[in-house]
Amino acid sequence: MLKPKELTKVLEQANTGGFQCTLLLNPEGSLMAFAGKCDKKENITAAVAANIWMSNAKSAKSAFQDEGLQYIVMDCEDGKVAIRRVANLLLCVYTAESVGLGMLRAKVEALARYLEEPLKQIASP
Amino acid sequence: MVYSPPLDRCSFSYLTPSRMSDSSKTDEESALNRVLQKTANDVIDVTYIEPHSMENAEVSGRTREYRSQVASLRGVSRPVAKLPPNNQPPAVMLSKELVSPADVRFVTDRSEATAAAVESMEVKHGEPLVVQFAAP
Repeated sequence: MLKPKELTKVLEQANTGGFQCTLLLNPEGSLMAFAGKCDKKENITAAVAANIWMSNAKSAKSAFQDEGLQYIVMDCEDGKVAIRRVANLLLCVYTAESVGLGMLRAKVEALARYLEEPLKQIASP
Repeated sequence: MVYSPPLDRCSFSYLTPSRMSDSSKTDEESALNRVLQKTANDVIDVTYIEPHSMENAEVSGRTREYRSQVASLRGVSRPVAKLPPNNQPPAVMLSKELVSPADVRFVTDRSEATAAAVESMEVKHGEPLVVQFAAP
């Protein structure tokens, strides 16, 4: 079983230097955990992120035959969003416009590396 | 003339059991409707729309077109690397002083330090995330 408080503490570590919110969700759009200033719209953010992932995953499967979709990075008008697959869940991070893509990727990778093993342990077979 | 007593707290004895069940039924129905309304407002539908599925003829047509475009690009020779645009003639530019070895070393060191800093980015380890239940 996952410890929700510890999970939130881990996600919170990413929320510095322009990073506004970090969410962990399942591909169906249910929010598992989040940390940061989400303005009480974290459920909507999770649902939209899952929808974007699922819309692209199918076509990515034929494009990237070996691995499938691993990463989505979006450079939007008011900020940047990254969605990354971790075990059978999705890690979604959104940042202010000032954050560089390199830093965004580095932090998401660090989080994903840390969460991969614990989330695999509880992943349903 | 018919006297009808005022309805107040003392007048509940006038409510028959059937009337009480009606009012409680109404309350239950309104509570249920409120719950249903709230659920309908809170539900977020994440079913995604299937991407537009193309007909086979269209797919094969587009495949042919893309292959021909890629083949036409392969024949194009790459432009030769040119010097960056500058008002000064190339001879003057090339005869200028070279970048000092100290500057080159500084840039190299900073690049390596930046790469190492990015590599060392990691999550601070706290308590374990997964709790194992002891098997009986």
